[in-house]
Amino acid sequence: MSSSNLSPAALSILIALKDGDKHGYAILQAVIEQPGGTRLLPGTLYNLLKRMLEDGWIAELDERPDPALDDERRRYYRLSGLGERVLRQEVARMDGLLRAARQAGLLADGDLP
Amino acid sequence: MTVPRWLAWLEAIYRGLLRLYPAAFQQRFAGEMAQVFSALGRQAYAQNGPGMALRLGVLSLADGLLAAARQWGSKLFNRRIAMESTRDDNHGGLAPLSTAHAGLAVLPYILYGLACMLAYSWHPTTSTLPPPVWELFLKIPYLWFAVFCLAGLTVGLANGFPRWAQPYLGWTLYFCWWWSNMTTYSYRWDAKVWLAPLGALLLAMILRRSLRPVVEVLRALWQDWTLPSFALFIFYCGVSILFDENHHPMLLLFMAAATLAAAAGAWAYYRLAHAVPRVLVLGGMLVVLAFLQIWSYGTWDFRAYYNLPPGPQFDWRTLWITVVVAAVMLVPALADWLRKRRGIQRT
Repeated sequence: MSSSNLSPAALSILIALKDGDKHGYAILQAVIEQPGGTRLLPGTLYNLLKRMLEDGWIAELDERPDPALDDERRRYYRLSGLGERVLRQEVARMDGLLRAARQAGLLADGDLP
Repeated sequence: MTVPRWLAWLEAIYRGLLRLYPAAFQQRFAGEMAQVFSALGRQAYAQNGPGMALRLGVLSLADGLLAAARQWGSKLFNRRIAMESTRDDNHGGLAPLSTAHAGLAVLPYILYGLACMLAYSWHPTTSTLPPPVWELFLKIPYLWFAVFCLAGLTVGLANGFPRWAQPYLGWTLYFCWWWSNMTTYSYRWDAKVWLAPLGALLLAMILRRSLRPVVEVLRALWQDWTLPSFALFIFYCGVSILFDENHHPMLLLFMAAATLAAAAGAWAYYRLAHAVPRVLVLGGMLVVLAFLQIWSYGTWDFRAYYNLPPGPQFDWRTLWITVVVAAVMLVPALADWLRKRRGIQRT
């Protein structure tokens, strides 16, 4: 498991998949809808998906929700147990940083996040 | 939904680009990526109109090229694609300029184009030969442009050399190089034109009572290694928009198109954050400018105009010069990228 800080793009993909299984285009849509979300483009997305598949953070699904209605080129991805642990670890790290920032007066209690 | 032809072309170009990826990657992801690119473009077209679809399409092409290079880097050097935060994530290379500042940076390109068009169509006479210098400043549009650039450069140097001032320095240097070999109305300019930018620098130092203007120019060069590429772009634009010795019947249209292409390149350069896409856009505009040059020579019988013996109409010289300039232009961007990679590995 990586102990380095995850890039915003990698973190956004993992958060999108925590919300449910998705194909590539649905991941892009979910990422842009996240609060403060940025637009991911296909080249970056698939480079990261490939690395996540290799590391076992995500898995490709064999079954498709509704093959009759779906484009056959689409593949669906699911967050694995390992991927979820990485995500939780990263979010906990960021939460700790935010608490430190709040103590330093950089965020008011009512401020997001 | 009816898909416009240009969007279908973009999709075909993207499918072609996917062939640049390593074979295993293509086999596994190319079909999916083509589908995502297509869905992205069509949805943007349906919801936000052609402008957004085109923007997303061009950005996805640049992103696809970079991703392909990363896949090859990963394959050849056995390095894994980074999922960790990089320096780029933290400060995004350089923050894109605001619309107003990018507009300010693009202004010299537009004015140079206008000066070229005016100088081509207006040939005033002078009182004597050579005329007094003040009369030259009244009658030569190029000199109006030069004065404008010099004023912009002085304001920029006096105000901390913000990024919008960089084109003013570049165009001033290009102009001095060009006019140090120039004779107009029997008046020879010589090397004394170089006194103008030196004067601007001196004035800025006097105004600020400090050597900081010099330091700030050097620091800008160190912070952004793509600036030599940008300087080369200005030089190429200067020569291209001028269409020297070209008397095509539609020359003003060619000049206008070249001006717009050059201005669009500069605009994108200042509105993008990362070094490689910024230089790729400049390279793309270089190709557009070369195409306009070749097109103008291909559709005008310059051999007949200059009483030259019959020969090929195709302007091979422009093509080769463009290839060389584009290749040289990429070097600083790659050096900048490598410098950042090393920085990431050290941290």
